[in-house]
Amino acid sequence: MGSEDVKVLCFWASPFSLRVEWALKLKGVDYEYIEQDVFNKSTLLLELNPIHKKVPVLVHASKPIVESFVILEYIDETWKQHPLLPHDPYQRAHARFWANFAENKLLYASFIAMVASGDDTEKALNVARDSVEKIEQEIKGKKFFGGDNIGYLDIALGWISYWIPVYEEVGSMQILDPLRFPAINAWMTNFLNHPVIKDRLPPRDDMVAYFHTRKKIVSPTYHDLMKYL
Amino acid sequence: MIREDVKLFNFHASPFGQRVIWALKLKGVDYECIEEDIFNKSNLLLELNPVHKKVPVLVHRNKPIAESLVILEYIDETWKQYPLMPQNPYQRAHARFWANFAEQKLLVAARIARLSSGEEQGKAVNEAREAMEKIEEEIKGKKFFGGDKIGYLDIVIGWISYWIPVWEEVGSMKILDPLKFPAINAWITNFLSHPTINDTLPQRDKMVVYYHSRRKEVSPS
Repeated sequence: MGSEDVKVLCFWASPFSLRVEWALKLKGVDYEYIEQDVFNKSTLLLELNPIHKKVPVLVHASKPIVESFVILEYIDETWKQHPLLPHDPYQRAHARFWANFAENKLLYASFIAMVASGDDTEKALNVARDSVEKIEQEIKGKKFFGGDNIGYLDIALGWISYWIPVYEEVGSMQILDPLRFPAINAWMTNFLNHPVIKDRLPPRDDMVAYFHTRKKIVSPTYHDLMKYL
Repeated sequence: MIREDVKLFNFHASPFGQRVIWALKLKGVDYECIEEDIFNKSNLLLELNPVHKKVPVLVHRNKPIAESLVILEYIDETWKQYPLMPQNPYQRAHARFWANFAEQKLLVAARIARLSSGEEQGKAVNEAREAMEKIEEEIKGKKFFGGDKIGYLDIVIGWISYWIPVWEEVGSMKILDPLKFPAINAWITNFLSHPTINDTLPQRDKMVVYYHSRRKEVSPS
């Protein structure tokens, strides 16, 4: 669909680059997927994202856009089919607020819980579970955060449905208790079963192996991450 | 001036609330400013922003919006006069990128620098300067980040012009070296000279007192 010059620099285990792919796929925008080795960064990546040196990078008509939320807004403004953000400014603000909340509160906390030890793990788990509780209230009574269809907030939070269960397994811990958080668990099932989402998930075994390795590498210096809690 | 039911819950020394004030004023939107004592938060504030319990909160038609950057986009989408964001999606992405960069790299480091001392402060000052270097490149050759007019990115980064000199004084440190950052310093002059910007700045001596007390709390020595 609409062959335009769209490339995405991705890393297969990155929830951030997958968001960008989900958005493009929902809108039916064709793109070239370029896998990056984030541990051995290519000259191309360093050229396109000199400030952060990270994936994802969206390149459209030869111009690079970085930072996954910035990219999502760009995609929504550039390709008008299957709108991701709601139309109403108040609901748009609401979606942006919750996307930022999950990014700042849950994303770090769940990763830190996986790599930390002792009391620090408990601390991180509490922050994570508190955040999930707030998100649970947001999704109650809705199929998707976007309503009947997947929207911006589903894409921004979608990593929860697939990355957190992996973190739970690798960290031998529980965050997404189905008894405590039935609405989120129902949303996760709906989200993961959506044909566009289902089609584009990294293999779970590979993810578990990858994050086991990450845990081993990051654990000795996890204290540096505690400031993000 | 447009009369709509707009309230802003703010704290006088908050750089985040100031952004919202600048945006509303540039668009000529009338609002009621409600000063919050952030050390003794009102029940109303806690009701309006239960998740973060912080200012600023914009209340429009009885609906609260929190988080200053989210509020700015809401304001720009709701009141169409004096557009803050560029029209073009790529330029909008560019503005949002630099807003996030300044928030994550400069603001965080500058805040640590104003609260700390010794080695920790030195490290934070260096990080702040590194971030400034990148921002210097962005503003080179332009009157404002928005071009000829003040725009979204000027409003987001605007706190630098007035808060950093106060923080430098309080923390006995230097971040905004005019020799090292001539373009930023020129922008600061342009920005603070703009009547709408200048008209609403909080009182400097009150700010100095406030930030001294914050610093004392953290490092009583």
